[in-house]
Amino acid sequence: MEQERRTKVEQACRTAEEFIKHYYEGLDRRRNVMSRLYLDTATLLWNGNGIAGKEFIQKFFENLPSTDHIVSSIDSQPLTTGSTCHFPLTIVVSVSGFIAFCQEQPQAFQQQLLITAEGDKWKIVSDCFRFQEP
Amino acid sequence: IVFDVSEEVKLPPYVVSFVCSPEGQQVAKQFLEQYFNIYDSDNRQAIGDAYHENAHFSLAITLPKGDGNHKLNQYMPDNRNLMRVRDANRRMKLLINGKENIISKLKELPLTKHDLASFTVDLPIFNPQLMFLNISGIFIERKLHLPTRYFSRTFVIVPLGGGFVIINDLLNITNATEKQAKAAFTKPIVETPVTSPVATPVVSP
Repeated sequence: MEQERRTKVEQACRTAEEFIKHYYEGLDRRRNVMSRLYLDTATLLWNGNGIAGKEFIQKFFENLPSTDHIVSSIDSQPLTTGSTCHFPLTIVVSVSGFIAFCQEQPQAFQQQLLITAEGDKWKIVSDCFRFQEP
Repeated sequence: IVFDVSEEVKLPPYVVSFVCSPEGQQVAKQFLEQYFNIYDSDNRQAIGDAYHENAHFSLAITLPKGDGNHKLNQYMPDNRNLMRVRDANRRMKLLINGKENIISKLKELPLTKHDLASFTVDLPIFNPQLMFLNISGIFIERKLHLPTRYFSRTFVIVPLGGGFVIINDLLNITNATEKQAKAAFTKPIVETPVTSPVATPVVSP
């Protein structure tokens, strides 16, 4: 049981670190592939604006001015309720850092992701982004 | 003559709250009021009722940019920022597991007062299986003279025995900006009527 938890925790850490790398590299340099990181039915909340479905999320990002992200912290946990886990292979990731639009002054942001395994790929179920200061 | 390549930075408007359903809004509001009422009290013992037996809690610190005197030192021993904590055993140890351990850890953290009027609330998922609740806002450490803090916190909440319990709690703490510190605890809490039109996901802009 404890060993099983350990395996899940380690997997959550590894997945979070790799996923975050792909995510911000994608957003900063290869926006056209962003939708691949999302479930078909995913939701993005961007400073309180709700966007549903990966096609609309893709469109949203393509309309966003160009970005540069600097990540300062990552934390991650597996979803588990013990012996009867209702959420196999799902993790929650919390990120903070700085975002700059079009080389302007960077500002602090926080972001939370719920990520699940769909077949052999990790996909975002829910993506929640906010500036620290409006 | 120059090239016309400069981009105008035009962003979607900043919206303080996004809640996916009226029921979700009701539950989230009640949950947050109860939770922070206990969390901001002198004894956090009763906070345990909010957690699942096997829940996880962890804390990560974001150091403010260019501020050497951030005074976040008292949180550093618990800082699980995976970019700094590379050792697998240490990552395990800093992920607090189980209701009793979480109560102990939360009781160790400095006593707080949260500015509920500063909260942003995002509830992208509210269904019979799961609630994904993300909040952020301002707080101070009540008995200490320290900078005003900014936090963001993520709760994964599941139904249990007619109520709800937290299975994941991720807390991120940093310092408030100068502007945020100035505005802290100056605004009254604005009650958002539950019957107000609740946004469903739309394409924006």
